[in-house]
Amino acid sequence: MTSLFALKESQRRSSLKKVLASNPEEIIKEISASGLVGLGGAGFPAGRKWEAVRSARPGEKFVICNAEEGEPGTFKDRYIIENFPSRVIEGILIALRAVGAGKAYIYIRHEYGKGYRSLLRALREFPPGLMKKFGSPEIVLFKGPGGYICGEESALIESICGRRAEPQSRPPYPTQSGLFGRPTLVNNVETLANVPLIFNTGAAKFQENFRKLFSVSGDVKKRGVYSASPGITLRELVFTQAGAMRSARRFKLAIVGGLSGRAYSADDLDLKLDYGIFGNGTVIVLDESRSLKDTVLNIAEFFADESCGKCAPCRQGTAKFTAMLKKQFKNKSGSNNMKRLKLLSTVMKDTSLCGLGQTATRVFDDITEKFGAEV
Amino acid sequence: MNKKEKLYANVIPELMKACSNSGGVTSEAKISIAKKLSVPVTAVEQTATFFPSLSIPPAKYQIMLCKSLVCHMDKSAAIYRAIKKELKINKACVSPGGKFSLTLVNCLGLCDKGPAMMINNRTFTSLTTEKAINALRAL
Repeated sequence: MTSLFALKESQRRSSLKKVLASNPEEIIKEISASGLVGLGGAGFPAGRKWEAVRSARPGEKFVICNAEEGEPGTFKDRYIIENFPSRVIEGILIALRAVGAGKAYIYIRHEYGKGYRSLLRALREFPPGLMKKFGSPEIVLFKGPGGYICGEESALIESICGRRAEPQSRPPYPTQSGLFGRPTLVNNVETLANVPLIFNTGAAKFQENFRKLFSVSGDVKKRGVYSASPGITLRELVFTQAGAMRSARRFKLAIVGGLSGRAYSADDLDLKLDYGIFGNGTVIVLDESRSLKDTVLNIAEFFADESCGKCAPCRQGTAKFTAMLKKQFKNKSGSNNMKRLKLLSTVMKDTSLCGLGQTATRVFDDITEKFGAEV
Repeated sequence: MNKKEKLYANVIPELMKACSNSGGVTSEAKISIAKKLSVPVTAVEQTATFFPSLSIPPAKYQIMLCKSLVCHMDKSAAIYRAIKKELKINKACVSPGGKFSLTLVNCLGLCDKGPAMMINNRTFTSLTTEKAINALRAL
């Protein structure tokens, strides 16, 4: 894959110089003009989020880089922090300056030992003169104890505060009342790593050349991280970039956006993975030999494990859903639970507090819709 | 950030430290963290019990094998059974003598190189049953 985030020393210096010469409003205007969106999955416009933190009440503010990559099938952030840690740090410095914060946290899952060390090295080796020009902010590497829910921004904030990582109701949004009750900007690793590139090429050119990272895994020949323009078709990503299927078996299903994403069948291969569809860029490919029952059950068990337990629809729902699926697949009594499973799925979607419960059964819904007879 | 917030902000870093030193956070460790930070023991306890990675059974070698979708497709369940048999892992997920503990965990973020496991801080990827057993025997 091309080294998207590799900048020459001169390019790097000139982009940071541009930032230092601009005031916060100008920086945010540039970010907004670049069309950069949150690349952790939510796709919220970065410029609007930055502006919300900047214009929030004055005083202490924070920036958090979310490197708690817990979604199965996702490893693009690991790729970035292991290979381009200084791009992430530069992105953080620019964000700190734009929103008027003096302290940043990089929240990294403890399993990413190599990434942690590479970030630590990059922080140590960062030119002190440059750091000083940005006001010598404090950048803390926070090793998170892990868990899927920690990727949710309010849960992540709770855990830095030393509490259980439970998502919070909003409003107030973290941009208003986040870490220690202060306005906080939380951005994904990939989002922040793209920020220095905006100032390197200018917003218009950045938008034109923007490339999203896709983590492709499963039954493909070459698993890995691929960069592609939004709008690339699923077919091109799987059959050209990732080198087609691993064996002679045919393509059956792709799960896009991780286990909380959507499932697409062979009929959808020409689907354009555009903004709003690519999610966090995860593509898990399954070939025709894979059992859909097994897949659906594995996903259900994952969410039952990872539910934080705060709200009942998710806590009880994910556990009940898993139990009902098991019963359905064993099917000793010959009864059909499908209607009840779908009803429970709707209840969880409508009533869960955060994205975990709301999306836990999305792949199941897609699979039953597309492969009804097989599940 | 006020003084109290600063103390609480150290709860998880301290728990992580206690975990990496002794494998699994013991009750004594939790009490000493609470004393050190002058926060209630219940505050430390309720945070510690939330995270599965802080409750992995103590052992010299803590094996964490990924069971999430991609590793599952790569037959991590067979590797789990093989390790369990090789080390005679009991119901408490620990080997006789307590040298090894075996835990199934969710995604380690190594889906491009699955099946994957971690032993303490070391990562083992592209596992087969033989590769996993050989890695354990080499410890």
